Amino acid sequence: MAIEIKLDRILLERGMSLTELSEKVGVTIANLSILKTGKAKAIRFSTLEAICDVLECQPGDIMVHVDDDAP
Amino acid sequence: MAEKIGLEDKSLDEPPAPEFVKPKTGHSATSILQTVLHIARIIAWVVVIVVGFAVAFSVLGALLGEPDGEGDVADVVGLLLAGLSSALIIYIAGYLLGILKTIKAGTPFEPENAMRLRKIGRIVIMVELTKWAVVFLGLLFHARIDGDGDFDFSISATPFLAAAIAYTLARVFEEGTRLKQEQDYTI
Repeated sequence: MAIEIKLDRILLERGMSLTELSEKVGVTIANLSILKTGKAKAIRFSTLEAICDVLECQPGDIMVHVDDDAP
Repeated sequence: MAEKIGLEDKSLDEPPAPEFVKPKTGHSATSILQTVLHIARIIAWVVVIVVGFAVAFSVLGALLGEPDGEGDVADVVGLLLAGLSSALIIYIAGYLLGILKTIKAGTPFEPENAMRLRKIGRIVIMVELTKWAVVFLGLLFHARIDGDGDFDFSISATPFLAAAIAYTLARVFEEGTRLKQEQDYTI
């Protein structure tokens, strides 16, 4: 996958659970799980903004581009 | 724990997607169409059964008694064509009822619907080609019995257009299914 989601790591750093994030962001746990497991096909700017607001981070902290061809 | 919650829960607190906002008349129109298709299916079954018996009696009569040539062959061909048309109605109505069921359930964009439409297209072409074969065989027998004769046979583009429409709709449903999946996985 070209885009890797780092939500797990950032949640661990903030000491926050997915349920807590779900409540604060206003996105269902199921949807956040889809995002966390990298199954999401797209993310809305509004969702990304809400997550960044709650976690006090940048979009780049949540997702990184990984080169598939890299050895 | 939280990760184990199924996909079906995710849309609970989201506004409904536009495709699920159905007009008030939609439901009753679907129900009417379902009723019409059920009735058409029953009638088609009756026709198929009656044609089956009629063909069997015609063939038996021709084998046991004196065939009167032209009349017998034309009758059997006519009956077979009616039977094929009825069989086509049975299959198409069945597939359309399947599609209408998913529309009623609010999930029209399923891979099965694209498959159903493809099958409709395929069956329409197959039945039309079979009709040609039946008429061709009828012509052969007719010529053999009677020597010469006039046999009513026409080629219509309508079935092929119907098949083309079904295949096009299948592509539309495939694309719709893909877009639906994409929307489902947009957070």
